[in-house]
Amino acid sequence: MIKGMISRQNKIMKNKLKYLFRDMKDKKIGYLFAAPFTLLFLTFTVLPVFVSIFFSFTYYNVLETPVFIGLTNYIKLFLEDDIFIIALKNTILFASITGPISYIACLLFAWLINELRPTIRAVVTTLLYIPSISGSAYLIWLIFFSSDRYGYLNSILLTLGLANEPIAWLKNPAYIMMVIIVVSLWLSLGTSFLAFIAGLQNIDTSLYEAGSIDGIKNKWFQLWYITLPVMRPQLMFGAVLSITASFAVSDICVQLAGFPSVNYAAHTVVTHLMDYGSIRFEMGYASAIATFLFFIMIGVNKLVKILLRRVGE
Amino acid sequence: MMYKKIIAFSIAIVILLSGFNSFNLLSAKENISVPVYEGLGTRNSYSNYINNNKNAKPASKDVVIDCSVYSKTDMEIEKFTDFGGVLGESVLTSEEGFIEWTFDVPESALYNLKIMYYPYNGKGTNIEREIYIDGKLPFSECSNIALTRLWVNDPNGIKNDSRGNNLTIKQVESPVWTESYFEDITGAESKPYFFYLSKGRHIAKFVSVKEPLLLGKLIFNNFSDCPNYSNYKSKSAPVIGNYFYKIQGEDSVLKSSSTLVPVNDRTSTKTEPYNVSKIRLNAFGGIRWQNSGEWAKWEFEVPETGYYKIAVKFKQDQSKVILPTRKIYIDDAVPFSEMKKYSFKHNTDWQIERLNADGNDYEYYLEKGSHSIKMEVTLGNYSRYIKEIQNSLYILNEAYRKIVMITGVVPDAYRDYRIPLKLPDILNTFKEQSEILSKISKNLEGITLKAKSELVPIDTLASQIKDFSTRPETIQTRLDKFESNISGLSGWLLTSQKQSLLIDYMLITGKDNPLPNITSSLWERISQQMLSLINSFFEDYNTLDSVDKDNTIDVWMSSGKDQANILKTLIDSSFSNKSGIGVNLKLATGAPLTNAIVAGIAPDAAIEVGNSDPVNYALRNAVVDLASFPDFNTIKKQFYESAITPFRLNDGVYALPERQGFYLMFYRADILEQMGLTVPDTWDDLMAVLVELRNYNMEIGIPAGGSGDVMTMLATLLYQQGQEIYKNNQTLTAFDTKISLNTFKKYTEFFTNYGLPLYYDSANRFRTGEMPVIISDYSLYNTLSIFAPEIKGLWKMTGIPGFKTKDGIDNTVATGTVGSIILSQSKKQKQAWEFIKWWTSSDIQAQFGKELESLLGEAARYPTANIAAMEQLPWRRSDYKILKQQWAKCKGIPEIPGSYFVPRNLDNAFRTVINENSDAKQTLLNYIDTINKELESKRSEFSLEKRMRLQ
Repeated sequence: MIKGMISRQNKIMKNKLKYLFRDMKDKKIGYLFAAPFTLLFLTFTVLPVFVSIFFSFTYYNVLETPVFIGLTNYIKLFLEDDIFIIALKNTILFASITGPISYIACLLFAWLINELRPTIRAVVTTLLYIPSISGSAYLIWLIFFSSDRYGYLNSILLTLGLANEPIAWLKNPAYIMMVIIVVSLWLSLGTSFLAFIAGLQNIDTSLYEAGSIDGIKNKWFQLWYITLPVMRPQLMFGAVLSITASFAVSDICVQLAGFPSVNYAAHTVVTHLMDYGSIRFEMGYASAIATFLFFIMIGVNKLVKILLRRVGE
Repeated sequence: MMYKKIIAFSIAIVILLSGFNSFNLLSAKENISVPVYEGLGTRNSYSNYINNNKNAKPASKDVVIDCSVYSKTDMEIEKFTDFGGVLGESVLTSEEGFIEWTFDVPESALYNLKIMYYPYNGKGTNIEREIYIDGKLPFSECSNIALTRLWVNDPNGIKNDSRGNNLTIKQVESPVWTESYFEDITGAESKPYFFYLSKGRHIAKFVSVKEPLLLGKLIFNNFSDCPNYSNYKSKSAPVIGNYFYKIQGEDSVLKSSSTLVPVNDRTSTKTEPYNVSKIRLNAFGGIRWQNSGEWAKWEFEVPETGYYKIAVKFKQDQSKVILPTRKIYIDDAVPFSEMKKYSFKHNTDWQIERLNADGNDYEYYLEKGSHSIKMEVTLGNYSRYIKEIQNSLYILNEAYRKIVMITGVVPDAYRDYRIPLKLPDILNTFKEQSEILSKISKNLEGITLKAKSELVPIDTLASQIKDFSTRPETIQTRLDKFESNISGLSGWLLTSQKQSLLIDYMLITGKDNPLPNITSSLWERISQQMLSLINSFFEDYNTLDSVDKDNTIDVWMSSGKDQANILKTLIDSSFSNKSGIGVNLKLATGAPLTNAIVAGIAPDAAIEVGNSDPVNYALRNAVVDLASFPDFNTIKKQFYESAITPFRLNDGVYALPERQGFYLMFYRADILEQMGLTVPDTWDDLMAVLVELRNYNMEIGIPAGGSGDVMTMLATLLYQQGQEIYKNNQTLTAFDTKISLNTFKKYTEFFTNYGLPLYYDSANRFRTGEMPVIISDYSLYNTLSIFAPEIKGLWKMTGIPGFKTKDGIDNTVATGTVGSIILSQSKKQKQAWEFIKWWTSSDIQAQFGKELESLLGEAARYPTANIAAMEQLPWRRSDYKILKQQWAKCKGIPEIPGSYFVPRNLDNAFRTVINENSDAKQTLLNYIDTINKELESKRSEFSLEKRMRLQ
């Protein structure tokens, strides 16, 4: 009887596989089209994640063969590493300020710009989008926030009599994070901003007409009940981008505050990872950090998904 | 209770006293009299000299000094007879010391000085001398007689790499006896300098500044000037109708400097010869040929005597205002006075033009046979303006400094400093300078016409100081703008003096020959662009490989293409053919070495590897211990121990040093002298100088801004007191000793108590004089010599201050090194060892340094770590001595497992003290714990104790 069940199950399984193969054969063009991306995605995204998870359980000094050491890296990460706590604090602080603000700013700007005439819209869009495509252009902020007396901001403050001596914006832990947040907000009108504009333009105007018949009185109602729910896919896309961007922040910190920054004031999870990976050659530990960051991001993504579901309710 | 009372009482006293103090300080400041400066203009310049002697008549007789008959000298002299096939006695003077001649002058008159010399084999740079007459510098320009060497392209011709690209052609010296007048190379004076010599006996003295020199004769005579064009044309000869001779720019036969190499131009398909993807050396000059006095010579032939025209195909896309100007010689003489300064117009494309005046082509009288044409960079008409601007800048810098002495660099906007009262002349100075600058701007505008926008820096400054002169009360609020306007103009001056001119070819033609078409057609351009795009996928300019694969090693270097090119040429000419080992040289910038090691594709050797990397790799068994090679002990004697220190781990040495950097002290001799201050040689003296400078709102620069500075400075201060950085067999930091804690405190006090600036641009502040004393890496020397011409000769460098000990002052300095490594993965370690031995050897390092400098100019002077090589680099002797003294006192900072953690935490400790005003000693102690923990954990990671016991 049991044997019969097993054999039946096997049969079903075999059938399923057969069906799958037949199905694949039928739609081979589709699979063929998907293959290049799938392959690249597997090799360069999925595989590294698993490799990194594997290394996180080893001692691996990059140049010699890894040694399996169990959970030691994670124990050290959560219980011993003070600097990791600083890095985590900085990252969360950074993410929770720039993430939402940049997200909302993107949305607002997109919404405002959408009201403009097409030619002006194109110009304004380009202007706002320029900072994020111009590579390391944010380095000009180094002059603005230079610690020298002749740095722009210091010079202004000194002439106005608001400061008595030059402030070391990028060498004093009290200011570093603030500066980095300001600069990254300047940079933040990026891809999600474009996605929002595209989303806004795809909205069927008849919906607004229907809405006004149904009693929507002002623009805010329109935004909340029609515009946002319709562009939920773009909202999700933007959210994912801004979460990954703000949790993986590192370049700006390194370029502006140096690496490592004074008293780790601009140390984020990713720079901490770089510190262990490339300076101390402790790749196993660095992988543990990466794995941890990976799961944080997944968690936050899930959270945002839940929040976005409530838009327009 | 008692305690509280005492504290309260003492606080009261402190408050009272400090009140008094600040009151005293204030009143003291009010009464400060500002020292009087002598500007550049009032110094003993040639224009003053000639003005004082303007009534003297020109000489009619020659005075000839036979240099071998000298009256006095302090150097080792070598005499030659008929040297180089030229009859007569000559004397070889060395690169240090003086030589004097006594001579009789038959009549009181103005004389030009002609020097007959032979550029004797030295270090390949210009020969520099000072000339004194009767023990005095007649005028300040006499301190800078520059005699050029003579260079030719390597007679073996242009060589190709294995991919068919032309390699940069080597320049070799080709000395001959040369006669040269002592003249203003910038072209401000139309005749050579005049010396006024009275009738009777005189003493001429040559003081060596740089390079040895073989002297034949000194001749004081009257220079015979060339005619103007209309007189020149008066000679009757036929005007040649049809002749066409092309001289390729890259084929110049003689030049004054080794930087004047043929270059590659691919901006036009018409540049000859042209190749769409390969490097062809097809043009001459460009940015390599832009400094006054640099010249090159070409040869050509004409079949019959007559008048010819000369055309030049050139590219001048650099300067719209100060047009590049050349002094043109035919057969080593300027044919007519218009040729003393011929300017080339600006255009972004290649141009071709016959040498002409307002469209009328010049015709040159040439006799049948071979001739030469020589072009020398000169500032010509612009020289006057440049000198005036330089002078203005000096005066304005000085005015700025005077104001700063009263107001400080950040003046209180609401206080009345009474500047016009305290500096009665300053408003006049401003007015005068403003008029001078406006006039220059107008004149330049007249010359350059449409390029008004290029003159903005002059106009801005002129209008600002004009406004200062009428509204002096605004000076204090606009001081920083004033400073930046001054630096703006200095920068402008620096770039506009560059006289770059690229020459493809020259033509000697008859009057009827048309000029060739030099613009490529649209189709040509499109097809060439496409081809070159396609080729760019296949051409690899970053690999300079050799052909023989079997006995070939891979070497990675991390600097630029120019360096790689030079090194490759050196390898081909003096490594591969001697050792039989081929070298694949690859440019790998960034940090790909680690990745390559992991992937198992690391090179055999890597050069230009940073201070801490060798030990880091050694800990992970990725590099070879060089001490295991039998001849290591003889090799290492070429370097100071300080250079090797960072590469040591246990008993091994994991790299050979290439470059070494350390601090020196730079000071403005003029400012210190005016203030009656001596150059400090201890830290206490330095602080005393600071106090004096502070009275006049000036500062001192001590490194602390950069992230590595704190470590290096602290190590320096500790070494000077005989303290080490690590203790316990290099396992713990020694920062917790009493000396260390006190030193750290003292170091932070420079910035907290004395309020020294942490962040500053050294070159700029040194130039304005805000920071007359700066401790900086010695590369600042190179920057200053290029970047700040207006203070040339006014600053000096010397060793850093030290601490007094029993045996005098100890001014040891901590140093960092860049080195070459051999990777353990390599299967050709022996060959790699041969290579890095060759590369770090004195001859090669010196040659590399010289060629780098000849290619990139003085700013690129190579900081070699090889002791013998440094001596061969073209330093001024006096500067070299200082450099060497300090170098001998260098001490390396050891690298140990986890030592990356030390500078980082010292920096953190330092900034915590500065930012939070916390107690220096306590803060440092806290960070020492962190450091030691990391050091221990790294040691246990590599189980070093175990490894050491096993050994």
